[in-house]
Amino acid sequence: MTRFSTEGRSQNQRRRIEQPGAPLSPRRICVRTETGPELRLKLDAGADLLPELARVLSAQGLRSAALQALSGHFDKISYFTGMVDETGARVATYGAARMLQGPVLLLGANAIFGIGEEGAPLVHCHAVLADAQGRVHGGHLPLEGCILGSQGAVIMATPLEDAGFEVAYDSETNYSLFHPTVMSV
Amino acid sequence: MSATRIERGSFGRSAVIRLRPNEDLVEGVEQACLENGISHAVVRSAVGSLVDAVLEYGVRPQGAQGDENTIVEKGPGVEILTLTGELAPGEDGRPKAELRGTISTPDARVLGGRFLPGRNSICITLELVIQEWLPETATLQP
Repeated sequence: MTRFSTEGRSQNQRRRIEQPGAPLSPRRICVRTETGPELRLKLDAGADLLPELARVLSAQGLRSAALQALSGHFDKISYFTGMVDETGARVATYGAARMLQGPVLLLGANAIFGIGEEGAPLVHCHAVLADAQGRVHGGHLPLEGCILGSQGAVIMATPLEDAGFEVAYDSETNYSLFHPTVMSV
Repeated sequence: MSATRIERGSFGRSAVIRLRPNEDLVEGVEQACLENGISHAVVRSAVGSLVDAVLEYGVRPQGAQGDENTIVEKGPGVEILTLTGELAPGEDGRPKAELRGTISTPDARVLGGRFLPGRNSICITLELVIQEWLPETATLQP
């Protein structure tokens, strides 16, 4: 059973949620880093968006970057939205994958490129999409299977040089999550 | 007659930030910047989720106490899809974040607006990269 508490007065209150693990400190983690020159990535039709981004950014010698989509077009894509985790293992989980058949337009996306499990590069991406009937969708993208259509995609990358995101187990939420980390050059 | 003000500047270092659960999205970003001496910055990318989302649209009446001009979506598990905005000193000189973006709800609707300060608790995490904006005018002041 999910438990909430409320902070603030009357109409300006917000709910807080009780996590499965004890709260960890600090509540805000911030690491400063030099920023590399911006990269504009033009991806071709047929590419699997997230593995291709991980591959080309790694090949540039980067370990972490902030990504923003400028354009994109998919033949095939699925996405996930969040929901309550009824098992109680976590406060929230993803529902079933929602499949969209192309052509699907990428209206916008934010993503973090960093170091995943066992040092493998990982892209965590959330996107807003318009389907072939013009309806708007959006959510968390699966790590594989978002296949670009004939118009490809254009992604801007802001390289992070001496710090970035690396996955670590988070006992508070019971998820493995990206954490800010100093990365020696 | 409009009076557009131009601020010349350049981009500087970045900050790699995680907000843990129950931090407020807007106030948490402001606090992280205050703690790290960042006064001006732009959002480069953000991925995360909210317990509940409260978004403003249109112009909220001054001193509004209720939910006028707001979208209130209950989670947990409201996904932050895109986030754009900046951080700049407010009237009191403290860092003030203006953040807007899009969300998806547990029943898979997509909505957008301005994230109301103090109303958006982080659910699992917020992964955020901001880049410092270095205005020349500020550095010229005595």
